[in-house]
Amino acid sequence: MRELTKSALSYTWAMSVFGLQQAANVLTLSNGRQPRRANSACFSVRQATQNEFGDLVFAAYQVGDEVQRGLTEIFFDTVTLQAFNPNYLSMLTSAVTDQSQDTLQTFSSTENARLAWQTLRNNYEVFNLVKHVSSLLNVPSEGSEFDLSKLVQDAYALGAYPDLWAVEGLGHLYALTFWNKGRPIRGILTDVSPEVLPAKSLTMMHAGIGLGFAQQLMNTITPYSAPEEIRGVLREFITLVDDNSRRGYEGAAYESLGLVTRFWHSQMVSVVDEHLREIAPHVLGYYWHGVGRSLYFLPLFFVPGLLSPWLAIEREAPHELAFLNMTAGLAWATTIVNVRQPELMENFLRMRGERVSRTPAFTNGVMSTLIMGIDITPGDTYIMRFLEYQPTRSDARVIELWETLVAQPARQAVHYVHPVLQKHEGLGEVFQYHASLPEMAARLERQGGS
Amino acid sequence: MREFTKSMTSYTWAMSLFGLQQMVNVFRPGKATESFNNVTKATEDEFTDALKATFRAGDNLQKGLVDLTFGVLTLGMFDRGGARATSDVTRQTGEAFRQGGRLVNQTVDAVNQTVQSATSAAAGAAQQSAEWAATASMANDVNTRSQREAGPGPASRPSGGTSGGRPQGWGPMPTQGQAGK
Repeated sequence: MRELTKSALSYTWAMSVFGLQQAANVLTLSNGRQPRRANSACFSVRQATQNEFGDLVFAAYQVGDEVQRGLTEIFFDTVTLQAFNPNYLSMLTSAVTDQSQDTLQTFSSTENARLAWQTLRNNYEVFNLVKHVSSLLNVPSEGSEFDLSKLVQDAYALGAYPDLWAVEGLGHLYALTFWNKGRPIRGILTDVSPEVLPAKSLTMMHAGIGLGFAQQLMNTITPYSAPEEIRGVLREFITLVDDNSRRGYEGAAYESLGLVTRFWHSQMVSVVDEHLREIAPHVLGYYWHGVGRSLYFLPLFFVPGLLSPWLAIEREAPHELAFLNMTAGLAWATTIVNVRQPELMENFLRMRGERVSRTPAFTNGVMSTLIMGIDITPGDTYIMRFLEYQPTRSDARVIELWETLVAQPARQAVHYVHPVLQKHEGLGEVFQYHASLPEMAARLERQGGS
Repeated sequence: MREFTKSMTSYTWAMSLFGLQQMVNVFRPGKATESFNNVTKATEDEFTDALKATFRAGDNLQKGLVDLTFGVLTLGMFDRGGARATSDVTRQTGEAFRQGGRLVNQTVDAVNQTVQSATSAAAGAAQQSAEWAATASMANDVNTRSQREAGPGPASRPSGGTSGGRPQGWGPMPTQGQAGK
C-alpha cells in the first residue's frame, strides 16, 4: 500500500512537471523544432501508457484515438476551407454512404446478423488463441528451459485450426527468449534440426519470430526520431530476420513488421514505408501485406458491420503497391479466420464481391492463405471442405463470383502452387502480393528444371 | 498545429483510460505500482535537466512524507525501526530541500543567462537594424537620385538597391522566419 501510494504520487507529480515541460516545449519560440519536441514527448509518454493497458482498455483507446484523429482532420479541413472543395465533399459523402450501406447490409436480415455473429465468435476465438498461447502450451517462464520440440508437438496436438495460431504464438515467444538473453541473435531457426522443428511449422514460426523482433524494435522509435535512428532500427530488424530465417522463409518474418506497425504504432505506418523504400525496397511488399492483415484484427474493425476494414484500405493505402498488398493481406486474414464456415465467405461475396473483384489482390490473398494453411496442417480437413463447398443459397452472380474469385483459384493454390513453392523453397513468397501465383510457380518450375 | 492537436488529444485520452485501467488494477497493487512506475519513468525521460532535478526533489520529498505518514499511522514511530525511518525521512527531506536549493540556483543562473543572451541579442539586433536602416536609407538615396535622374516611373524594390543583387542586411530574416514556423 505504501509503495502504491508513493508510485501514485510520483506519477501525479511527474504529470504536473510534464505539463510544465510541454508548456516550455510549446512556448519556447527560439527553436523551430520545439513543437516537434512537444509531439515527440507526448508520443513517448502515450506509448508507455498504452503498454500498460489491458485488452479492453487498449481496444477503447484505439477506437477513441482513431475517431478523434478523424474528427480533428475534418475540423482542420473545415477551418482551412479544404472541406468545401467539391472533391473533398464527394469523397466524404461517398465514404459515409459506403459505410452505412455496409452496416445496413450486415444487419439487413436475421441470417446476415447470424453470420456476422459467427464471424465475431471466430475473431474472438483467434484473439484468445493468440493471447493465451503461453498458458495453452504451458510455455515455461523466463529462465527455464524452452523445449521447442515438445512445445511444437503440443501446438499441433491442439488440432487443425488452433495449431496455426499456436505455432505463430510459439514463434513469438521463442524469439523473445533469445531477445531477453541479449545479442547477437543468430540462427534461431536455421540451427535447429528437423526433428525438433518440422518443416510444416516453418511458415508461422518465421511469422512468429518476425512478430517478436518487430515488437521489441518498434518500441524504440517514434515518428519524431531522427531519420538515421529509424533506418538503424529497420536495418536491425532486417538483419535479425536474415540471420535467423531459413532460405525462402524470410518473407514470413518480414511481413510481421507491417502487422506490428499498424496494430501498435499506427502513426509510424507511413514513416516506415518512406524509409523502407530507400533502405530495403524488397521488404516493402511484405510490409504492406502485414499492414493489411493487421486491419482484420484491429479493435476498430473487430465487430463485423460497424466499420469496414475494406473501406479503410481505400483511405489508408498511399500507393498501388500498398493497396494491392493490403487487400491481399486482409483477404488472407478474412479467409483463414473463417475457413471453417465457407458460408461466411459466400456471404462476404454477396455483400462485397463486386467491389473486391475489381482487383486480383483479393484472390491472391485467398490463395496465399490456403497455401500457408495446408502447409502448416497437411491435409487440413477444414481447408479440404472449403475447397469443395458449393454455394446454394445465393443467386447466380454470387455463385459465379465464388467460382472465379475463390473456388477455382483455391483448388489451384492447394493442389498445384503449394507443392511447387514447397519444392523450390518459395513459401515465404505467399506473404506478399503476386499478380499470379500459378505463373510464379510455373516460372520456378522452369528455372528449377533448366 | 493539426498534428499537435491530435497528439495532445491522444495523450489526454490515453491518460483518462490509464486512470480507468489503474482503477481495475487496484485489486492487484503490485501491477498498479509497476504501471505507475513505468509511466512515470517514461515521462521523466522527457524532462530537461532542470525539470528532472525539480521532479526528483519533489519526488524525494513526497516519498519521505509518505514514509513518515505511514510510520505514524502504523505506530512504527515508537520502535527502533521507526526511529531509523524518521531519521531517513529527515535526511531525505533535507536532501530534497538541498536539491531544491541547488535547483533554484540553477534556475536563477539559467534565467540570468537567458536575460544576458536576450540583452546581447537585442543589442545586436538594434545594431543590425541601424545598419539596415543606413543601408536602406543609402539605397533610398540612390533610388531617389536615380529616380530624379531617370524621371517618373515604377519605384525600385529595396533589394534592388543592394550591390550585385545579394540580399545584404536581409540575411538573418529567413532564419528568423523559419524559426517561427
